[in-house]
Amino acid sequence: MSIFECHALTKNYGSVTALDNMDLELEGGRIVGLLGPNGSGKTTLIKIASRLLQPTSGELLIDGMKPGVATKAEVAYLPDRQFLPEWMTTKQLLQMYKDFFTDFDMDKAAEMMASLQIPDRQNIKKLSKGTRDKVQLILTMSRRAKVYLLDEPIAGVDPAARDYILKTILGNYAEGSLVLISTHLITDVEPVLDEAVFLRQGHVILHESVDALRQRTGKSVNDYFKEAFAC
Amino acid sequence: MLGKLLKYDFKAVGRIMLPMYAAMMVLGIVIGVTARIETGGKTLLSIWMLLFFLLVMAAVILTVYLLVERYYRSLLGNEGYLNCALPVTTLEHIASKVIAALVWMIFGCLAVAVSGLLMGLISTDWQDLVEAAQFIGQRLLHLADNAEALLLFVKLFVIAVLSLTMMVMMVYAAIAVGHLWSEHHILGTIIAFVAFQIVMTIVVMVFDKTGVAIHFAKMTGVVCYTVFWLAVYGTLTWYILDRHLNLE
Amino acid sequence: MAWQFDSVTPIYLQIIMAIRSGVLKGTYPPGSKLPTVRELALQAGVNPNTVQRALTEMERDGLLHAERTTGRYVTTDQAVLENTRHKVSAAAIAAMCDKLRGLGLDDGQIIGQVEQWMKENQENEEKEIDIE
Repeated sequence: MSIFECHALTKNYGSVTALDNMDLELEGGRIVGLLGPNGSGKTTLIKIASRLLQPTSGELLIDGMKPGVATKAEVAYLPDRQFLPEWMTTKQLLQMYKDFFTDFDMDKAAEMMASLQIPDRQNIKKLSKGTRDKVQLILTMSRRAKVYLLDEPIAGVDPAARDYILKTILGNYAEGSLVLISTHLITDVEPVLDEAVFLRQGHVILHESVDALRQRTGKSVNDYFKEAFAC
Repeated sequence: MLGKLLKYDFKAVGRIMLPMYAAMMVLGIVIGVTARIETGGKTLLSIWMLLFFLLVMAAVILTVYLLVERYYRSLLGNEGYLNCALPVTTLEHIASKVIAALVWMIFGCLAVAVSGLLMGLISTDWQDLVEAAQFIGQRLLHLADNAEALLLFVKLFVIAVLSLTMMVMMVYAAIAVGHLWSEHHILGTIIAFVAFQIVMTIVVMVFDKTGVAIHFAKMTGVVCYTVFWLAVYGTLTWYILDRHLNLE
Repeated sequence: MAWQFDSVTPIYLQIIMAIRSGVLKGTYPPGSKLPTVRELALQAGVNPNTVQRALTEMERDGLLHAERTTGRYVTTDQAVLENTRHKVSAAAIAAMCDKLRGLGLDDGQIIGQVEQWMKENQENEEKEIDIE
């Protein structure tokens, strides 16, 4: 049983089809890139997996279960926006994560924040955007989850921070878990990926290991992507 | 998990309302003291009273605003990405918000009452206080004997709480319906709210015509009516938040 | 990231090359213990599974051997190390010859150029030592 499965997954927003009869199976212990142009369905897929959206038809299973309370406890979701309550302090946030997620490693999170010199009694409101992004990342990666869903974790971020983010992801994901990184910045992320999934207009047009793709095509995933999605 | 949700819902509102209530009670004490020591011109007292009145008004408006804002922001705004990803059922989310709303409203009333009490206690002479206390004490004992009156009190209290809950649920349902219209969710909320009023009025009129209304004039009737709408709005809110969530 | 990767060759092959070079350079001396898979992955900024695949290949070659509980060690077997030296040199020479042949040199000219370069460089090094 794969840890992440989609069968004939479809999502329509009115007349727009975001996901079109999609099939996908992903195993744990891998870092998988969800790659595709804007509007290809990446965020929709991730939202359905974290149960922030309901499919129109078909199913998505995490660890054999439909998205629900049980899967939310096993899934660590990092959306592509700021979601921290501004009125809380970093210390309160750490406590909140600990309160709700049994797989949250509070000591590790506190350690990571300390190493970035983020004050623990500081109001989130007073932190810069870059720092808030890092706090969100730290909170997410400090969970020993079975599935990590990272939606554009390095977009809009300077190269040094990108490095930090990728290292944080690499160094902290739980053994045997699935890390799904949705991004359009392929070159930076490519060395970190086991597998690449290309998404176009709501369905999977490629699902292959990165090394196999390079060997087969003699191109990097980024270059192959440019070809596959040439306008 | 509900307890944990409540903890954070209370914290979010408490950090603003508790200082206000503290200020209210301090003002109550100040007024009480001023009333006591001032015998002549009542200008200072009037100023304090005005201030108190404004504070109460502000607290009421702030409470209503906060409860709406807290619900909207934490479930349907950016914080929704955090809260809706928590391993908690939609029912627990809604229950937490409604209970918190109720508690804060009741707490607010209590704060005003206590402030008023402080005012009265401090400004009144000791003998008058003792007399008043005895008088009230007698009346209460009288009441305790009268089971019917007691029951009436309890019924009224239950109806008050249920009605308040129903109104909160109605507002939350309107906001949820508004959320469905992604480009104009505020307009959607207002339209939904108006639509709810219209529907409730129509239902009452229908019942009026069919002559069933007579039964609803009684207490139990009112309770059933309130609980019915509470269930309707609650279910509507749950259905939208659980099945049609679409955060931007 | 200290490690540089080209974007075309499969990463596991590049890791193998990098570790072989490291063994020859002295970063991972013969007999020493290699960092863990996760440590290497973090240093290199790559996927641990890719590192694992590279290390497994090198175990098969004999360059690395795994002790069940303690981890992976670089071999002390001279024959294997010589072979590794040969493989790494061959790769560098292949790249060089490809380039020079592409510029029109034949094998004799290539060898001649190499000898000339070495002589010139030797002289330059000696001059630098004199200056110091």
